[in-house]
Amino acid sequence: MKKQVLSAALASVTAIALLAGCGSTGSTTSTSAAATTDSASESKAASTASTESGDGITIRMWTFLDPTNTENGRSVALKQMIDEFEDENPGVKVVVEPQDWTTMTAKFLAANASGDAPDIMWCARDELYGVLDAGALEPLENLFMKDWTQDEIDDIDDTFFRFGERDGKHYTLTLNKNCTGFLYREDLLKDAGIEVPTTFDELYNAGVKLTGKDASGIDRYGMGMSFSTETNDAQCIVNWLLQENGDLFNKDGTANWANDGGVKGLEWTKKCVDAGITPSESVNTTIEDIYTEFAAGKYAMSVGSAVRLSTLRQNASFDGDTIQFAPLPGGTVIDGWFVGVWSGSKNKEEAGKFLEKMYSPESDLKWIEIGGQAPNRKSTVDKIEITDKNKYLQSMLDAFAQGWLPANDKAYVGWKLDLNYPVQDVLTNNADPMTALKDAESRFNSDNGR
Amino acid sequence: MNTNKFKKLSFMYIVPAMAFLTMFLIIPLIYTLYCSFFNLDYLVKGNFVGLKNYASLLTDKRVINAFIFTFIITIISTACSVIIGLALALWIDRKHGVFAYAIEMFGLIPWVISMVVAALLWRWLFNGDLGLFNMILKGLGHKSIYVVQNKDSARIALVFVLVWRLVGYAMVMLLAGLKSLDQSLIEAAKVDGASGWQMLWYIKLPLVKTSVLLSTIVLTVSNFTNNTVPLVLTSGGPNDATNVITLMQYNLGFRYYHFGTSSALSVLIMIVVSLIILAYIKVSDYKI
Repeated sequence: MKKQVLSAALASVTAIALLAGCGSTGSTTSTSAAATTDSASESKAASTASTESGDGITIRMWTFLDPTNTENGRSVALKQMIDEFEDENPGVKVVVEPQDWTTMTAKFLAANASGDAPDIMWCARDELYGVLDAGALEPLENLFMKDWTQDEIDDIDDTFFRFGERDGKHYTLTLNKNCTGFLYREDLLKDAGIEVPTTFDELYNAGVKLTGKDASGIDRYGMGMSFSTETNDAQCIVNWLLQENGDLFNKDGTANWANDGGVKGLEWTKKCVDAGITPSESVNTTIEDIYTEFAAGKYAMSVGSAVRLSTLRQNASFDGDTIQFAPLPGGTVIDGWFVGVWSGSKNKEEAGKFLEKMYSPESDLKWIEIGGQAPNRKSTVDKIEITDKNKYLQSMLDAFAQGWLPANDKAYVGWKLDLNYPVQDVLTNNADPMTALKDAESRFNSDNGR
Repeated sequence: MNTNKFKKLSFMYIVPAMAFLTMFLIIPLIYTLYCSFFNLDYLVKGNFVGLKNYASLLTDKRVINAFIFTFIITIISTACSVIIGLALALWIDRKHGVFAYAIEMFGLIPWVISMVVAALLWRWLFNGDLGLFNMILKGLGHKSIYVVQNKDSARIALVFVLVWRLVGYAMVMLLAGLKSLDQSLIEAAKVDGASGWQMLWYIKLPLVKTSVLLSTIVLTVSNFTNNTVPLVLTSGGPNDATNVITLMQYNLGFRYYHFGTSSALSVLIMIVVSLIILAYIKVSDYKI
């Protein structure tokens, strides 16, 4: 009898938990992108209620930046914005909960499903489709953007802004705008009498010239690349595909890699490894390894993100100011952190205000001057002076104007990493490039439900 | 105290532990099972799909290969850890004083330090041009070996790090078993003229069977479900050469956001691990 009672009690607890879980997921489902569009009044009511409670308001934000870090320029800039915002809005406190960037968006989705997400969220580009699909973000038109003039909107209207758009509403502003290209040591290029390469042939030839032993006898490679399938930035094969085909995907969202462009990209990559310009160990090297090794002086040039330049300059074992950035031939993949307000937040208005603060013209200058970032606003571009030291900013601005992003109407997850499988296959198994590319296409299509 | 009162009191004592287990083990387990029957892409609850998630996993060549590879490295690394751990335990059992303590302490360091830190440490030690391993090789006049970049050496490196991490734990567990042996049995065997080998084979090993079994079970489960070391050390590569099943599970969930399929794979892994434990218990004739 007691056994039965215990079993029944356990079963009830389990059932309640399951129902609670369903409820939470269900509510997320009902909070679809469309459903959130008209919730401005709701959010205002919620925030008013919260303000009236008299306890003050705490805005939680998830980002990979840690405002207590005084070494990182972006973190310092963010800390200043928080301090200013709290002074301007007495009773409102901004609490940053720093996260690991690789799993941050997945955690946000989980937190959204369980109803305990942060008020402000920094989402990764490839995951934004899923975030919007889950109805996890509030349209900015329901918040501060309803008061913006057309001129103000025009000032930020670019590829990034439109990427965060769905059904005519905008859900995100893009911070830490970024693009993938190559980092190079200007001093070494000058010493070798090499102009900054603009074609793949020039890049290869420059790599050959720059490969050798450095002054301390350590092997230095002409071109650093990383082909790990875990953490990575887009590698040269992506630029080859963009150069030859203009896009990486077909209209139906399937991968379009098994073609001449892909084969040329693989052959060029293999040529770099075979010639010793790129170390053969790159086959399983992560991009973080490459950045560390670049700062240690192992490479003269390296595929990498522009946004990492300021940190690399700080960490370099040589004169960091000689590090510059240029776009890779073929096309530039642009990226950034798509920041929005959680649709379930009780403090949407205040969270929106802080997002607006992080995107204000004054903050934009802080991101640039303290954080080493590129401008977010068109009006800021006119205010900055391009010098020899920060000429990488011009390369970034050019890339933003012409760069490539995947469409935001479907999930495009894992493509950068999936495109490293054929590279690994060719380098480790000497596989036929076309077959390796077809395998990679199947992997991407299957993992993205195509 | 009458029997009923005693039973009630006993029940009260185990309630906190039961509640804890229910909250953090049983409910998540049942919920994972529940999730595995749904399309849960991006954690948005979709349609009920029945066994479709399981079917897609069991027909996926990558999943099958990852399962096979995980079995192989689990068996090899567990066997090496237990054998080396036993050898070390037998050796230290004969030592006393500071030396024995020092060996035990050093042996346990890989077990107590963070797995991420340990794996990252080995990744950098194995680094092709800047790593200590290749610096020593170069110093000895050999060419560099790109350990985690070559398929075979990456597999060996993975097993090596798994063994390195667990051998100290195995040693301490088995040493505890050896220390608890009834010394009168050892003395009796000596009086009967048993050789060192006979003492080990007929007296010590049968008596530490439970410790060996428990260590083997813990190490097997630890190695089978270890995601951190492969993720940090080799990233599952090159070309899926070190892709373990938990890495697939992680990627299904956190890279591709197929949480329904990832839940189904979690259930499959749990079933496999449970079967392994049952098999050990059955083979060793261990009474619970």
